[in-house]
Amino acid sequence: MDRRPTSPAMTPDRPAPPPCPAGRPRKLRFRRTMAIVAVALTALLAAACSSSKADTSSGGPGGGGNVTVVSYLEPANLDPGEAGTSSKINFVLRSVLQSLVDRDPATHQIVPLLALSWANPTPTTWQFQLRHGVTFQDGTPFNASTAAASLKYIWNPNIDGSGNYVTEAATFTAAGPYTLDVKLASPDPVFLSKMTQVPIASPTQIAKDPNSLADKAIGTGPYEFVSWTRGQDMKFKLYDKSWMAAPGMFDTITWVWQSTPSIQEQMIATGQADVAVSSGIAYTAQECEAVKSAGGTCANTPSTQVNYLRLDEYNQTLLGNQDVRQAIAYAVDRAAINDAFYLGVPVANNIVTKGGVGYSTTGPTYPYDPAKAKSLLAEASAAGVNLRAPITIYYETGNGDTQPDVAQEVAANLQAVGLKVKLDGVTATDRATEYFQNRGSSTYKDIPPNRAAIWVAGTGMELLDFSQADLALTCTGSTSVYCDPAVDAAFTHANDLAGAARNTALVNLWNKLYTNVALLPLNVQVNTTLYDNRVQSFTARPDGVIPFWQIRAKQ
Amino acid sequence: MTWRYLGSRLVAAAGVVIAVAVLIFLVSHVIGDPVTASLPGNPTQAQIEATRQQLGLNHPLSQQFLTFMNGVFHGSFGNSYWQQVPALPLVIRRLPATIYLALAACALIFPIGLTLGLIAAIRPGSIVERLVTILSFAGASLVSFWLALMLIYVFAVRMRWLPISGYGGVNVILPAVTLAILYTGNLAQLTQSSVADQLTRNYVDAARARGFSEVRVLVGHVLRNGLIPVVTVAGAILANLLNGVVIVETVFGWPGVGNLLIQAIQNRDLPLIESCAFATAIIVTVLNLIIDIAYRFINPRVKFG
Repeated sequence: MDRRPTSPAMTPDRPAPPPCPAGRPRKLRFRRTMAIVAVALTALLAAACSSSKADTSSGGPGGGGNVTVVSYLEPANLDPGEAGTSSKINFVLRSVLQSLVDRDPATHQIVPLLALSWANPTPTTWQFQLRHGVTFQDGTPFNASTAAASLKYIWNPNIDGSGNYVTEAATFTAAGPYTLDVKLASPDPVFLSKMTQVPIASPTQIAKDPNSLADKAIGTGPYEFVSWTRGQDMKFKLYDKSWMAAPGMFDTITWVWQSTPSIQEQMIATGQADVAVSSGIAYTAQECEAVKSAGGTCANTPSTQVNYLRLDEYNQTLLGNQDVRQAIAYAVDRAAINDAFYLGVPVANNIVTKGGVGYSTTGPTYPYDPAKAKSLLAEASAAGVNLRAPITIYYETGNGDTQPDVAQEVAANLQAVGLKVKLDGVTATDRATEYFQNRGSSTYKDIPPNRAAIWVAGTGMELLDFSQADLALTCTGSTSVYCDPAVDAAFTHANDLAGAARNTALVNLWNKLYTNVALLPLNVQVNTTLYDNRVQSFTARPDGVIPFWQIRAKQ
Repeated sequence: MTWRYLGSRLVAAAGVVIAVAVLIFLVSHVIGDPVTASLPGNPTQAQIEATRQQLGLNHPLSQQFLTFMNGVFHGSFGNSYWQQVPALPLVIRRLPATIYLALAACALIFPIGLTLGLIAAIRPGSIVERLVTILSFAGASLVSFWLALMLIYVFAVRMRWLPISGYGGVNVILPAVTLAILYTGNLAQLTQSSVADQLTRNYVDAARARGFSEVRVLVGHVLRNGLIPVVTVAGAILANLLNGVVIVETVFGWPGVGNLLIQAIQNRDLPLIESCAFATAIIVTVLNLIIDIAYRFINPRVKFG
């Protein structure tokens, strides 16, 4: 006989729960009920605790508190038109101002950002389909007409800072509410790469308050600009209406400036800053260890900069000889130099980084081989080249500690194979005058025949395209000491191509140039990022941008 | 007589400022080419010419000089190449930070230096005298960069008492202490020697013979005479601090004129460098003027004219 009381729920309309198994003791049922209650209470308590740390349970963006970033470089000016001066504002403002497209830091592929897709129907036209539901931080809706208005201001070849990227005129028009058409004055194979670097600012700000562009940034990014006290700090706060805002992100970002790497490291180790950004290898192994022992991270990330030796070629009696140039490539122990001064990074045999257009895996590699170098020099000598003519190795003083050391090592390597070498350190100002060949009224033709200069140099290849190196390898290139009309023609030809054909043409061109050691790459520059244990692990980007839209605070 | 003296000092000060402006012009326009020195990267000949025209450097030197001096009188050195905004206001915006740090350092240097110097003078051979000697040697021999790093290591990294870098509030303590260690010894030693010298004078014996208390002899007679050379050194110290203590400001990330000057040099920003130099010249000149006038109040027997 069932003695359970009849509950109102037990109506003929609702099936009755199955009866308890016959003979089950009442004590067991009580324990089961208590266990369920305990589990429920524990779950509630856990949820309450987690929501007190970060507002993630409710799904609201932010909750990570403040993150302080100490950087070696303060932007000079926030005008988006200045973005072309490489990453000087990009690396700080990339969380505020966004571009149409981005580059995947792992694959180097161009990926959607404010544009979801794009097409290149003719060599001079591009069409972008823009993201819906995006607003600028001042409330201006982001669409094709506002994007066009912004790009019209920024894409101005007459703005000094844009000179690095914006060389040709272009028109931007709205072909539909979210369809942006671009018409270029001439075909530009790296246009899409350039668009990864060009930030889009509020057209309302540009139209109504252009004078504020230098001091205040308004974009579509997940963080909005709050203040900038020059010399002191710059503050952003999470723009919670952003399409990128997400739970766990930091609520505010404070940038502070400190140029001394050891002090940056101490700020991280003591918790006075959470992230430190430097250019190149700024921190010693001990400084890295200090951050790690405090629970932080010291991460080295390959950048888009390549360090190399520039060898005078045009009009040279000694360095114009291919045997001598190849001998130098074999004589310089690049692996040892990288071990000693560049954290042991691999030797580079390209001037563009891996994944870039024109990156070659089929060219010469010049492993360290002093015997082969001597043999090549002997051949050059037999052909009448005067090997006793002095070579000067130039390096910039005050540009970190690496260049003088590298120059000394290169000099020792070259002396070891019998070349006559001297060293010359120059200041940044003198370098500006000496290093650029096509500066002002002087051209490559003014290079004296016996100059025989080798410069320790580096170049940013942020467009990830070998054609960007034409500055250093064509007759009229600003830093070029190499002049071969056939090479100039090959660059022009490659730029008329597209896709795989262009890549192949650039690979072949580099292989040819590298056979003559047009440049001797040393390595891909590594940037070091320090962060403390408040910041979840993240992958630093080659362009030095800290991806705060991906970074979460540790809970 | 006083007004005449004041007038002559003002004229001299104005002369110094003008001379500095002329020197700045000569250094930037005659010794080097401001266009090639300042244009970054690889300008073309057309860009060089355009910049030359924009800066008015295509005009005769005499006309350039007049234009430059006109700018000086109107407080304009042109736009900063680096920041693309007027250069002098950038310097003026950094002055409060430099003044703040200078005053904080002075708040340590002057009371400590004067007190130590005075005690060392009236208690020769005491521990205080030895301390003054040590401080003086330390100030002369310590490198500010090293000292700043050591103070950061001890008080910010090891003890975690103070912040490493930043502006305002407690951030001022470490840079101010760094500067105080560098300058206090110098002031204390000069105070000691000056007061000790005065203590040997006959008028001190005469004052004591008249029954004046030792405090009255010291404060009313000895200090009044002994402080005259000290005021000169104190003025020089203050001028140094207000010039923007380049290394200390840079190490501690202090947003003052010294820090700005380093950035201007790194960016080859000629108008900004000129503005820093000019602002510094004005500060030093005004300070010297104040010190000259202060002489009159410290010791009226100092003759003017």
